[in-house]
Amino acid sequence: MILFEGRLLPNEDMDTVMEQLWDACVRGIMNREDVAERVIHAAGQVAEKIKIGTYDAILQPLLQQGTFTEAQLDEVIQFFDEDNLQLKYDIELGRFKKEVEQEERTGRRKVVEPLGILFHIAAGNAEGLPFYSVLEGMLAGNINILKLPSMDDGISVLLLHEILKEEPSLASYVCVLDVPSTNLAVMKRLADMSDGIVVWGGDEAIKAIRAYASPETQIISWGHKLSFAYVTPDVINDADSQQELYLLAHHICTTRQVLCNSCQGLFVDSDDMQVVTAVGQKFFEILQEVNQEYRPEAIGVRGKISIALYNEELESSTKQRQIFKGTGVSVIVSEDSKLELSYMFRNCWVKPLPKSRIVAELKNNRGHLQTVGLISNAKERLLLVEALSKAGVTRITKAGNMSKTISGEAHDGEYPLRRYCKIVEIEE
Amino acid sequence: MASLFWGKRPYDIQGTDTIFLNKIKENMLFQYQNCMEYRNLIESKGWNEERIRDLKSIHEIPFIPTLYLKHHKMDSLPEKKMMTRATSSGTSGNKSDIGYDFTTLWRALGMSVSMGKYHKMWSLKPCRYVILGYERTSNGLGKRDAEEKAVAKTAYAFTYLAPAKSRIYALKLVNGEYVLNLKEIKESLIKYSKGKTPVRIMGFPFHAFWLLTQMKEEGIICHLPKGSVIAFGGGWKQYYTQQADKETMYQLIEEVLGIPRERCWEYFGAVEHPILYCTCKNNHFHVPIYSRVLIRDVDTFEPVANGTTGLVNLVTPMIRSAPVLSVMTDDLGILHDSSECGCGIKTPYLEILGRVGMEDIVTCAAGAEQLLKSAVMEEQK
Repeated sequence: MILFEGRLLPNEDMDTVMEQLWDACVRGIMNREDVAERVIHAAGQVAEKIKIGTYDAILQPLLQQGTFTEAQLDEVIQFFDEDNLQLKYDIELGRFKKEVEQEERTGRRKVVEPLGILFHIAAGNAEGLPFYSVLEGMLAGNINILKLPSMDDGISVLLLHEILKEEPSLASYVCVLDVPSTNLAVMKRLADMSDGIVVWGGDEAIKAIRAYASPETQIISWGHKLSFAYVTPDVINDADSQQELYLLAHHICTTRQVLCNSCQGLFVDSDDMQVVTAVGQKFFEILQEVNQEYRPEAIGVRGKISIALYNEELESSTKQRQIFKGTGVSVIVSEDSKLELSYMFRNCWVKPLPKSRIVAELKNNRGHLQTVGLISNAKERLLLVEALSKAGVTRITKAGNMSKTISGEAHDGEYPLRRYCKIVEIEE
Repeated sequence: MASLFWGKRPYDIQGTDTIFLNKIKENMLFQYQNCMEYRNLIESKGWNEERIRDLKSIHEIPFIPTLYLKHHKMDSLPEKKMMTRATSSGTSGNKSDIGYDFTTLWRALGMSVSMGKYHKMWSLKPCRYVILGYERTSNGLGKRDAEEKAVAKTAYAFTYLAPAKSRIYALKLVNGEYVLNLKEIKESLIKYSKGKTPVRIMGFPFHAFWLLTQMKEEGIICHLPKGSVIAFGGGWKQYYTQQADKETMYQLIEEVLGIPRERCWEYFGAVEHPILYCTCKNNHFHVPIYSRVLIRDVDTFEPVANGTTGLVNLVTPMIRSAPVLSVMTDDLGILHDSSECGCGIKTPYLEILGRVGMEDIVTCAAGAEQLLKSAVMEEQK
């Protein structure tokens, strides 16, 4: 599906759209205005419509399939309702703009302008993410070209189209194309048109784009990140912390561990393997219990993980690990302190990481750190927060809230809207 | 002792149960004595010989996942005894590498002769081959040389079932790169349809599906001479849920090429389990006497009843040179009772549903699929 100048077109019209795209983008820039207010209003209207069930025909099947939960959907809707978007805009860009534009020290006037044309290469792991990426680009005033992820279910195009229906004057700010990333010729043409390429994806995706984007094009990457929980073992039997472990298990089941803020495993503040194993076993029991409340993963996913775990067992004669396996869940306790991706889909690791080694160990993953769900006693919390920040973590939350995002919060340590803008200096 | 691999009846499972079990036990012991790594593995799984009492208990043999074989090269014979080696068509350096000794190859030859005869694949009549796959080259091109790939090897071997008058390839090697060449294939098929020489087409189903859809859209209907065949290998599994439905495919073949469905052969085999599975006249993969197929529960690995979806575990005593008598594939499948087919073959048949997991499905067929998609894009411009 293509969305161009406010109209939905079939993929067959790709060539025609490609021919007209550059001129359309240039026209869009020439007529560019500050559209933030209109974007916020239109998005807010769409959010309201979702709330009252206007799109249920499309959303209900996805909810039933378990692609996302009701709670997750509510959270997403809240994210782009009018008040929250306004708040996000004010925090990320509004105040910053004022601050920059009021500064008079140099005798030159400064204005904050959009980068120009943004080319969004979105990932498919989070529902509606391509839509959200474009929304951010529009809030900052850019013209946006979106390449849909393969396997896209159409939600993003639908939402963008609805926004343009609410506010037709925004039509020139959005173009959605359904082009596979293997079509290098088209990908390169789109990259060449852009002032900035917004990439959501792993290191490999980012490397691939660097290979064909021209050096002057700015690449704004929201790369793969790894998140984990950090637990001090002394609290394991205290009621509040146990509650946190339960919430963490719920978080693992609902996010399926596929998001950048999903918990991949638990680091335990100890280097005594007996202690680490005890935490592992405890959490395994909790995960097993919580898992029963959720629909099982697809048979193919479970099969793949069962084989992988069996393979781990065969290999464990050379590696030091202990595997707790239940139906649809597992916990692997290992002796190393390496931060790594888990098998996902309700399978996590538990490893030792005494607080004295936090910075030294995690520094190895500096580019990939994101959220830590911290479960600790009050006394040590400050100390741990400090060590984790020094190591390069950008979000520290309660364990159950790892994937809970709040409007106006930074993303991977940055405000996206600011990254999509530049400062222009003008001597009067 | 009667021969399992050189017997004349490849689906006489009842007549060969005892000999199969004996061969399995013998192979198990041989691997145990000759491959230290395997010995350690199965001992860690608490194996002992006593556990295999009858054919029902073969599920107790500890299986080796193909995943494990991709990271561990396991031989049960010294390198000098290996006549050849084959690697699977995995990407990113993770491939199984299996050596075959003379005994193994001799058995494989017996199996091929017997299966070829049974399915009437052998023909003395010369024919033209159209390979919808990689061109086989003899010049060394480093590690990615097509010759290394079992797929290209199979395709080439296929062209010996009947004398070759000509061979053309969809993926041609030009300056060290594979280039897709559908235009020449189309033109050749049109030319062949006017002659008398039978055509044998072989390749990945995905390629055939694209080619035939395109031909149909362009209004090219070229019924090939009598005796023509289309054969697919190695491929439905990539498509899982979105794959072209088989029925649609057979109809398309009949419509565009005039090849009836009983002349659509499918086969699969794997480097780790080189048993030939060929389709019957109803297009089902019946299990031949050389192997047994176990379907296991995805969570517990317990064998499940016929008709239930699970993980596909393949068991064969054919390979002497590597401990691959029980291999767990990455595939989901169902074993159906022979009565559900009705073709006359008395063994159950295997339906492969697709590969487990969601990501990491880039295999050589998927690679070819991408090459093809971009070519289609180019052509449409």
